[in-house]
Amino acid sequence: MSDDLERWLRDGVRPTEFPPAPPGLRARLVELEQRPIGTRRRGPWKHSLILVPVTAVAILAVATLIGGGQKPSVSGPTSGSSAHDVGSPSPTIPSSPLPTGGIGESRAIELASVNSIGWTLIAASAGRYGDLKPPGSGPGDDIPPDRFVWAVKFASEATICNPLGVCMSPRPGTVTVYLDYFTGTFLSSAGFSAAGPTPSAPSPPVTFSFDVENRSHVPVIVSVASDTGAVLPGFEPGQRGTISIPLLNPRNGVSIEVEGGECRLLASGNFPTPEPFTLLVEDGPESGTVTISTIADASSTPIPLPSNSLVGCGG
Amino acid sequence: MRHVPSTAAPSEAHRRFLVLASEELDRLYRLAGLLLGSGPEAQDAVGDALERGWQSADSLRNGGDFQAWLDRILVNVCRDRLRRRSHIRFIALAAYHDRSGQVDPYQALAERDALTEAVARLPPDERMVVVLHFWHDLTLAATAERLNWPVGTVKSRLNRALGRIREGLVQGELRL
Repeated sequence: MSDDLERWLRDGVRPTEFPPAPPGLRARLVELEQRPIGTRRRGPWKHSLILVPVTAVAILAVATLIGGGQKPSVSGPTSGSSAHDVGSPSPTIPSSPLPTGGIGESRAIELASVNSIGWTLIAASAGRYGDLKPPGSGPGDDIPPDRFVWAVKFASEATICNPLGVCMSPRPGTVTVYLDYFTGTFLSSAGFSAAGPTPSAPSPPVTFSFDVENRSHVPVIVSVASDTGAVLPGFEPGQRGTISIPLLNPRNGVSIEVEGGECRLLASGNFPTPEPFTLLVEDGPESGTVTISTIADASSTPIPLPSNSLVGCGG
Repeated sequence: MRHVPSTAAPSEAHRRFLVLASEELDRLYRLAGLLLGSGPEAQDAVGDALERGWQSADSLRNGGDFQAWLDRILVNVCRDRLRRRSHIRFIALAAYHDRSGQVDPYQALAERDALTEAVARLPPDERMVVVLHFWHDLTLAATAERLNWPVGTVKSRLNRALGRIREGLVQGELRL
């Protein structure tokens, strides 16, 4: 069995099935190159793990925030960097030569990233604004077309809202932040996303509740995650309670993992369109295991979560 | 004594670091993804490892094994992250907010079959040994070098990990 097990392990993973390093990591190397030796990185570069609970980010709203309040002061290394896509091996040649004395690419990315936590860097380009400005920008755009700028483009989900606050559901999009080429001062930002079918009124998170009843002989943690948060209360054998969790979009549902001691996953399930129910945790076929099932019934008033010393863990 | 950062231009060692690290990025990202089981967290871990490597690039002598050196830094970063998981639960937002249909291949790996799921459940040290030896195709000696352990420790941890997985097979918890 040992040989089989080792063979199964070796054959279980194919290196080619995994993607190459994302552009952000190559941008990190560029940033290191332009940083004085001995200094450490500052700024909101951390990528994606945020302690719950959280709320979704509306890209255009944040882009507006940048425009309204973000006026970064600049004191960084300067270079005559050419414009290029981050991560590509060779720079593209700008349509007009870049003047000397501009801020470097890494500094531009750093400044543009101040209010862009969680966004993925796509490209940073320098050149005349007329060559880099967003397509379709009209008379309201007062940046002279011959002004040299940095255009730093990010990808993320965009929630498009009109001035009355009527929003479309989030969809993949991009935001380009324009900075003055010499000082890094914020000039403008523009967001793009594929057109959506029908605007929908903005809706606040709803609270979804369901009951849990631990009928097993195993102390368990019931870890529940939604599109905006997670909770992980513990249930000793015989205990019951009502779990409540906010949902930005009720159609996203919740996912549930039942953990035993030492972070051991005992059971899991997804509930994409949750209706009120009671989650039953019952003894499994083997000692120390459990099964989960639901019954379409829940208490009319919330049952307080039980008191115990169980602590969840993750991974 | 206060540490006063130098403002010197990149040294030869730092320039060498950038060139070699650039060639290793894909491999490092995959290793971190396999160790941590999450693409976004792997990106953060590799970023941290690059930062640490950059800070100590002068310690790598010419002719040294750059790959092993940077692997060791990355493995330490991942080990710290795996151990922290027992205290704090993090939720990868991308996993819940991604409506574009893209799947994190590292998360998918852990959910693909009982065997890979069992590896994901191993304690951090045992998981790292299994990933480095079986999935990253390192010899026992190379695995020991990355983990800064004696080869005997690698063997014992590997045996313990295999035993734990095998025990699950015997008890019927895992079906291949």
